[in-house]
Amino acid sequence: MKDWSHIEKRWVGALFGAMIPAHPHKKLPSLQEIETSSFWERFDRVAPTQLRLGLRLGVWIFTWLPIFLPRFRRRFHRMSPDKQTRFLYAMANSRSFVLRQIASTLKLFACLAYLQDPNVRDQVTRLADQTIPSEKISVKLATKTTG
Amino acid sequence: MYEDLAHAIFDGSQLAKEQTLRADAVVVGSGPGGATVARDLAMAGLRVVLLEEGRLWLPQEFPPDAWTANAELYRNVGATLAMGNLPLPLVQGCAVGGTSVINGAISWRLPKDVHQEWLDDDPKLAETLPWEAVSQSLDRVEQDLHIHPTPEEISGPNNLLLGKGAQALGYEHRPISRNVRGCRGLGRCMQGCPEGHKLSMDRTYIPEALQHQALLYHSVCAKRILHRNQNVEGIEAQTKGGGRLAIHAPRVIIAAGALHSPLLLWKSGLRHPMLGKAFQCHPGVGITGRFPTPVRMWEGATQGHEVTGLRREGIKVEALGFDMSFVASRLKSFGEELSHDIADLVYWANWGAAIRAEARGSVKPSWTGQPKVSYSLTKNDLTKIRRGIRVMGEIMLAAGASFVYPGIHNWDEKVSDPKRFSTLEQEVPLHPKYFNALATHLFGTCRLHSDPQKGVIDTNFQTHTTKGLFVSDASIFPSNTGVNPQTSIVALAHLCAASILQEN
Repeated sequence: MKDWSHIEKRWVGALFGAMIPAHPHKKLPSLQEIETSSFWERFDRVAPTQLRLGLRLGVWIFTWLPIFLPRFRRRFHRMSPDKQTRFLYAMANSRSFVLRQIASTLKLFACLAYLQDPNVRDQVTRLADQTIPSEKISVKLATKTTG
Repeated sequence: MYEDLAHAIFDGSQLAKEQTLRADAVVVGSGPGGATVARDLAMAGLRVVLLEEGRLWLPQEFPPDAWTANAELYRNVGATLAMGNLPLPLVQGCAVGGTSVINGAISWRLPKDVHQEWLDDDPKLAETLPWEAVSQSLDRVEQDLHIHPTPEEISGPNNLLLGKGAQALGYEHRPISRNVRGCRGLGRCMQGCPEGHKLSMDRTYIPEALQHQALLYHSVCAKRILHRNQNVEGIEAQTKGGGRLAIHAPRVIIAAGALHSPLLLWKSGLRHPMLGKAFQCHPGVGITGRFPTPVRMWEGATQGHEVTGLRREGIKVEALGFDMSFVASRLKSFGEELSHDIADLVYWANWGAAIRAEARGSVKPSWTGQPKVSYSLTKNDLTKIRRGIRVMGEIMLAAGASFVYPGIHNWDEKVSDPKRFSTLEQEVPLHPKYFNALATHLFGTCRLHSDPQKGVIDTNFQTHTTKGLFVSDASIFPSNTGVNPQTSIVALAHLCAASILQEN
């Protein structure tokens, strides 16, 4: 991301923020609120060229594509949160395989960036600890095995 | 474990000069194939140099989260793509110990019927690779790597639910046998075991090799096989610190995996009509489901239970203990709904089906010097994928899931009625882009065959073209196996080492 322009960084921030907004009731921050510089530093260092180009292209496409769609008519970061979410759902279910792949790749990186943050991981674990105990399961083993 | 072996370990990131070494054998790649040969040759008294492109990690250094692990321990962040009718990410490790460091520790014996298929294709294999020899070697691996079924107390709900559902529907199932000792079910196999309880190569055969005078050079990338007049002479390598390493040896064993082994032969000017051809893998598809009670997918044995009853159909279903981030990325939601789902991540489960695909592809060097993989699934493969999803969905609902995301484009996004799955195979076309898959277990690109026209490697694991040049990884497998190949790779690597020593 070191060679990304300031404006491209804003675009990816908007996309990631729209994918994972805050959940105040459960004390989970939005992806835009957490520190992701170490995530991007590592990405710059290790991601292969095709992945870096693909992610950047995906950010451009998802930023500009809504302008050409009658339902949206604005660049992604200029849309309301509600429309941003609807756009992301539309892309994830698009007839175009490429758009579906961009949606799932951006989401994968958003989740990786979000859940690499130790505070977020701690909070998800805390929320898990507050739930009811797991079901007691005992499995009777199959007698026959396929070798 | 490595404290007393520091004298035998060299970090390539600290080597900036030219260095020349002499050895009896040099092994390229420290995964299951390379580590095994290095250990056996060192124990027989040969001076062995083991090269590894990735770095050496100690258990306490393994990262807890998937991103850091993928970035540091996986080749190309796990984003090497096979291009064809469905682009498939290919997952491989890149660290001392190779993929054994980041796999789920699943340990399967080579199925006898797969071995028989190999003999049917090449009857001469019966002389050098008879079932008895393979079977004995598998026994030895099971003992060395402490391979045992996963105990129920460390399975965790994700694994046990798979067993419960399979049992309810009458599918044959069992706890997965894994190469671990003292596993507490931390669910971190795929990020490297932080307690060193997975008996990966970096915890077993590599230290044993070093105790027998082998030298390990990590963070070093082999660039060229040195050879003259059809005789191997050594390896030329580049260190991460910018240095150059020349290792002269009369025996070179390539064990860089099914993508990089053929590439290294290719870059070294070694040509063969079958080099890089016959590529096979195990494409895998996953489904996600929400349970009414906590699953805690990131806890318990990473992969502790499997459905074995469909193996002969080419389908193997297994529980997948992913890190939180992968669980979240597989949910269908975006925005506030995704934030809610992440808050409730404890209720989600993810299982996968690995397919014994019949498709064959190819590996060639691309313009960047990296492997270019071409691979397209056949109709039969897609039929298996579709059936795998149906079976997993039915099992998940039988195990008590409230609903399941089958992950198929243009079909029901969410299924809560098991009857819907009974029509899946009629309603979903065999269109590759309707599915999402990735591939593990890569095979066949330096195929073993007694006929020099049909295989790159002869039945003694030596290349048909160059004396002293051996290959010892899954690239030599005549076909994919339909099961996790680590145990088979190690078993065949023991036989490869025995063959080298016999020739010696």
